[in-house]
Amino acid sequence: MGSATATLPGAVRYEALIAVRQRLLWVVLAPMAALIALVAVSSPAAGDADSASAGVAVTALGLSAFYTMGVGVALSDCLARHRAGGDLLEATPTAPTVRLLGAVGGPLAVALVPAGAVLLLVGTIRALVDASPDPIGAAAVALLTIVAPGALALTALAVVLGLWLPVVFARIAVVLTWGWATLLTPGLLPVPTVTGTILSPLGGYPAVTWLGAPSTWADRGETGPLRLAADDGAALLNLGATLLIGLALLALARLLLSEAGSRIRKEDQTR
Amino acid sequence: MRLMLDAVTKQFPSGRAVDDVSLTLGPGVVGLLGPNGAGKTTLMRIITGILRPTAGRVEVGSHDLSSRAGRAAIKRTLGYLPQELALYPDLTGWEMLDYIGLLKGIDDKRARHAQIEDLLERVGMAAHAKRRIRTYSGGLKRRIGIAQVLLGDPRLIIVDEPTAGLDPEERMRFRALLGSLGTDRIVILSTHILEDVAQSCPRVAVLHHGRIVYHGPTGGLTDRAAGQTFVLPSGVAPGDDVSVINASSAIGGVEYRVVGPRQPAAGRPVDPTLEDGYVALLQSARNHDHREDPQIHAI
Repeated sequence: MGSATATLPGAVRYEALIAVRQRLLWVVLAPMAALIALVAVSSPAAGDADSASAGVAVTALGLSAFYTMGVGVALSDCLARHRAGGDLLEATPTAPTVRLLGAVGGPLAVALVPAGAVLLLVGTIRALVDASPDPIGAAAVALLTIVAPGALALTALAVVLGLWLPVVFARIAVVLTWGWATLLTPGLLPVPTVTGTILSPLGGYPAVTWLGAPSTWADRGETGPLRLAADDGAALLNLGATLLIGLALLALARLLLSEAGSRIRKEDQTR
Repeated sequence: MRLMLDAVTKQFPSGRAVDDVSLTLGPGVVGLLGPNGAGKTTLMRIITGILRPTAGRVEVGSHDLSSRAGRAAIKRTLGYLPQELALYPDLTGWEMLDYIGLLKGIDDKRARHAQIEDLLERVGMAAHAKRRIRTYSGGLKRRIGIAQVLLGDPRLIIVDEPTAGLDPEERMRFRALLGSLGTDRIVILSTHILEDVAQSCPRVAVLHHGRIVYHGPTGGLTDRAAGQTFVLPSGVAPGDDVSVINASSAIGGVEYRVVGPRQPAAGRPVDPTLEDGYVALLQSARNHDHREDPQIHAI
């Protein structure tokens, strides 16, 4: 009775269902996905990519840079809402970590569906043009190695900020942090940034190494100690760092959740 | 099964919410009474394993709450209805129960669904089960809360203000349900509605300033007001040394029912009710507080 492996899929399923029924998620994400899809299928630049896979990778990088920002904005309050479940959920034998993974994993999975659909659309069009199934495989690789890891990292940051700050401030901080970590190069603004390094969660190194995106997406044309030449090792390091950042932030969220819970109970007691 | 609390204390920065509580409960329905801030909710949260006591020991059956394994084991035998019931508004009643059932560890889908159907019938929610919770009235939400308590056939049931928001008919139905559960389970009912306790609970415990000031038969609590309950005729105002239980309009003015240690001059002694006994007990507890610490003011 009641193992985490049995409970987690159910928790993910119900938290996903709750996310599906939330209007904000679709109001934020559907137009972004539609716009990125439109740009991807109509832009001459995408067609000029060295290979069909590279075109898919560039679309994935666009999704990672902009659509992921929308995911973070939309999901920044999902743990704060989950926390409102309070004693009802706390009194169940399911471990708080399993509940947290359900509360984050479910909505994140839902939020990734439009991104997956955009990649599949672009991959399918390229596959038809090239008469080759490779771009569809490239779409799957792009989703798993570029968009999903970045979305995990930013969602984890968003839920931590959502537990810490009022949701409006959390959303502003999410946008600023993501822009700093994925778009802001020293060439744009001379401030220290992880953009273009193996610590950037954009997914540039996997895009360049495994899908043939233009090499500038890896180091963004800059040099420095963390701006490695794009190869398998650098791509794995970049992917690993992104996942590690996401997991570390989820661990922080778990800690904040239990501290917030005990603080609320203390406040209740003083009422 | 047996619930045992041994010298349980919970200290918050703001003060001591539960103070050296020792209590042993066996199967049956026990009412938990006390004024606001007496420590009832804190005590229930301790028993559910949500809060850890600062000192003392809690055992449910053979499980000790001080260990992680013990807490998990107790939560598997627990049905808890918190006072502030936070259901997910975007789920239907049926889905909410299924989700809670999963979190309670009822992995067998068929068994879980069968239980849900049965419980929805028992709480009169079958017709509303497919509607989103955001469309429910307070009473319907409470009924879903009551149904989730019973998921997994818990042996320890703790319900905090379960009948708040229910109409009289629903309350009667819930009291009957609670009574039937108490035959082979420990049921703790925390409420301010003394009528619910009088109807459902053979035993009662009263908390005051975090301490148990009474634990025994419900009739025994009623008896605390024996010889202290009076009705004042119309036109006679109650004095400062009595507590007014109620006031009713009568010919020539207002008739007061009061509880106090001495018979008022015009007072007519009457048989006490549970409400009278509860008030008499709290009067006595407050007087005791004043004698022990003159700085303590009555609530």
